[in-house]
Amino acid sequence: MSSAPAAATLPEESFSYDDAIVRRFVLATVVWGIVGMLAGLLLALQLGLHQLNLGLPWTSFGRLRPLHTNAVIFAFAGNGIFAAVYYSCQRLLKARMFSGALSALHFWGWQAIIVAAAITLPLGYTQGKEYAELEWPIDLAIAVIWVVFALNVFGTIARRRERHLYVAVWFYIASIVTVALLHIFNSLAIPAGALKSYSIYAGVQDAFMQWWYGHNAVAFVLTTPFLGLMYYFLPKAAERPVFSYRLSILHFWTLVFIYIWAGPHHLHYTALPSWASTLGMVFSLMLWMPSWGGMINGLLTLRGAWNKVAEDPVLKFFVVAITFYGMSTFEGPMMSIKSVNALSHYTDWTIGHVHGGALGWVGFMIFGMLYWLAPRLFQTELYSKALATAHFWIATIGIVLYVVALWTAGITQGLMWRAFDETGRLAYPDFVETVVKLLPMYWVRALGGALYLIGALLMAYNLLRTWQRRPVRYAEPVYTAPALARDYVEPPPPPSPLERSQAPVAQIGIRLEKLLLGYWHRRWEGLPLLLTVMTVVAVVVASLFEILPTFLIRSNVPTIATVRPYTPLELAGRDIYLREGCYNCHSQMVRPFLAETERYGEYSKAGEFVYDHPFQWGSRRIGPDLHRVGRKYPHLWHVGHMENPRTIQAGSIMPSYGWLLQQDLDFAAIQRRVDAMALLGVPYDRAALTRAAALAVAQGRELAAAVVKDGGPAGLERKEIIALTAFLQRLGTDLKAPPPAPPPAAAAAAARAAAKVSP
Amino acid sequence: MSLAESVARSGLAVYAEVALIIFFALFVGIVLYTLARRHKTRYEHLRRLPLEDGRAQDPPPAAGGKP
Repeated sequence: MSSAPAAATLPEESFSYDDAIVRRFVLATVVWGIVGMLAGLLLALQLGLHQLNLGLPWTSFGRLRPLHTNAVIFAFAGNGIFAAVYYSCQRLLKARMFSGALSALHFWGWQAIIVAAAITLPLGYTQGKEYAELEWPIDLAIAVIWVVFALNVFGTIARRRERHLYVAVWFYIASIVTVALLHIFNSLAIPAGALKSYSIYAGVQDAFMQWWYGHNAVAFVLTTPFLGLMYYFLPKAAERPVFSYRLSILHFWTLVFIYIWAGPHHLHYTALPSWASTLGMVFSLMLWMPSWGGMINGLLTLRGAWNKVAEDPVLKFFVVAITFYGMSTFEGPMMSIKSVNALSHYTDWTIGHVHGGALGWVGFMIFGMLYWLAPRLFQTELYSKALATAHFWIATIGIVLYVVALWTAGITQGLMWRAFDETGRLAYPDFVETVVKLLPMYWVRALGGALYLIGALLMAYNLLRTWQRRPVRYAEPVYTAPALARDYVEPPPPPSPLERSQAPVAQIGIRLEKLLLGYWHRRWEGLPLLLTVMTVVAVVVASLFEILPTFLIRSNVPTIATVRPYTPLELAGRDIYLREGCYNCHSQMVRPFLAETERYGEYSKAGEFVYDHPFQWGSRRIGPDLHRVGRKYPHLWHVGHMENPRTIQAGSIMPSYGWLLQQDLDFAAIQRRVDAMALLGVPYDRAALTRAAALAVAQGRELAAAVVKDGGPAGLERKEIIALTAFLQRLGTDLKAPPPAPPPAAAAAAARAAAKVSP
Repeated sequence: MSLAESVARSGLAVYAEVALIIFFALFVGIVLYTLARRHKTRYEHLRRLPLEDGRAQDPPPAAGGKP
């Protein structure tokens, strides 16, 4: 019981737990999980069979992929986390949730956000940043609902009847405060319409901010809440306490201190300053230590209970989940080593790694929790243990097929990209050769994903039948515990060894010893506000130390005189590039490797991206890099390629974008978008700031005439394809553009100076 | 002078090392604290917390396992 000596004199209080809200989140977890996995399976099949893009804008790969990632991360995992937090917090704190109204607002608000995402993403409303695609009104709603969730949890903590917070609650607190910080700072944008905005960051800085967010979303959405879940539900299912509480404390603090630094490993060999990516690599390697400590702690909790694992599907799910946690947290740091990353980055190895963690760790922890919760929430026996066991085996085989296929695909493609023949030329100069080679592995991946989805459907059926056997009216047990004494005083620490020995030591020595013995930490554990503040300080200080130099030290982003803002038409084309989600398959970052400069051209420089709001470096090359594609082909090539990629490149798996040749460009919106860019500091001239649409019309007419001259279709000057072509033809060309003409006064001064020195 | 120029000239390169030392010292403090034997009793209480969900006066009648 509570360690408060005064509490023993206080009267016992009666209370009950709100399980209705947990039941709602469980239902949402199952429903959105199936939706997200179904979208994932469709995407996997589209890679093998491009016809499954259906020729429709809202079913094309680039638009559906963000729907899949958002659905599985924020809808499936998100609702699973909320179910875990609402169930375990009440019991660990011995208090009912702070407010039923806040719980309901949290639930319905979050579901509304998911529905808004499911509608807007296929329609192409996106900020173009991975895992942060949702447009600004939805971002605002996420911030509000997250605050509602935080208020409810912290309110419950304030009303608790257990003085010291169990480590699972620490993990929840760290997740709540850090996710709020990540979301707010990465989503800062200037609106350029009701559902259109531009990131306030550009190029290198946007990339740094995005992967600070992206990696820590993995940390504080897909790891720490699930560790909280593990530290609560695993002991419950195993009916034995966690193996080492000390190890769980170390696990918590090392993750909080280290994880936040690791993001830049997503940007090795890019235009990011080298010191930052090395820092990210070093901290990623340090993550091995706490991650494996946590895994060992989880597995050793089952010491003496392994016989139960053979019988209990819940424990089966937990054991495999924890094993995948260990595997993924070994693989991640390994892939952050620069020389490994040089091979793995932009390949399917990354996707295999992510799914090892997502399907194995996150998915299996949720499945185990749902099977454990179902009989308790529905107050009846689980409908079928055999079905749950079948789910476990089918899903396990599915994961193995999935990750092995993508590991193989990734390493194969990475090796093919860098292979040279005996004459010193690229062995596979056509990118499509490296794509076709992967198709058998894509089919195996789709099979693995299908098995995983079948398992989830079995679970949904099992839970539905369990729910149908619920009592007419749920019983609401009443619990008792003494309230916390307001005048509670932490008992004084026992004398330290130096004090006990009465050795002639200066007082400062004794104080130092007490500091090292860490009595202060014990006080933190009973002071959630202080614990929260310390977690925030650790996260914010680390973030600032890492991020600020890139923002403030100019030498990190050298300017290039020939780099100019996009013309209004090119900007409109760039917005179409974002809308169609091209960054899901194409990078815009040529790394400084011989194999890449041979294939694509000059490597990318930081100064080339200073007007890229948001950056579009990408993280996967299902198709080739596009940073140097500008002026590589005639305009007509792009028109034909977008209309049907297979007429230009046999074997291409890219969707057809026929609608770009039919839909009119929204010229009326261009001025608003140029103005928003100008507000962000992009130096547009007077003409662009006053008649952007007219400039776009003129450039479109010129480009469309060139298409007709080359034998292409007429009447494209007002179509979206013209804007996209203008953007693609501009990509990466500024580096070799002629320097801008100096202003007249400067030119005259230079001429005078030249006249003086000439003989 | 702009903010960026001020920061660029202020020689802040050393602060990454300072941060590392602060973080490392705090981490060592937490390790020492965690490993101290004096917390054994409290840890024992905390690690058993998930197994003690409170004392139900009126447990659910159905065969739903532990509340």
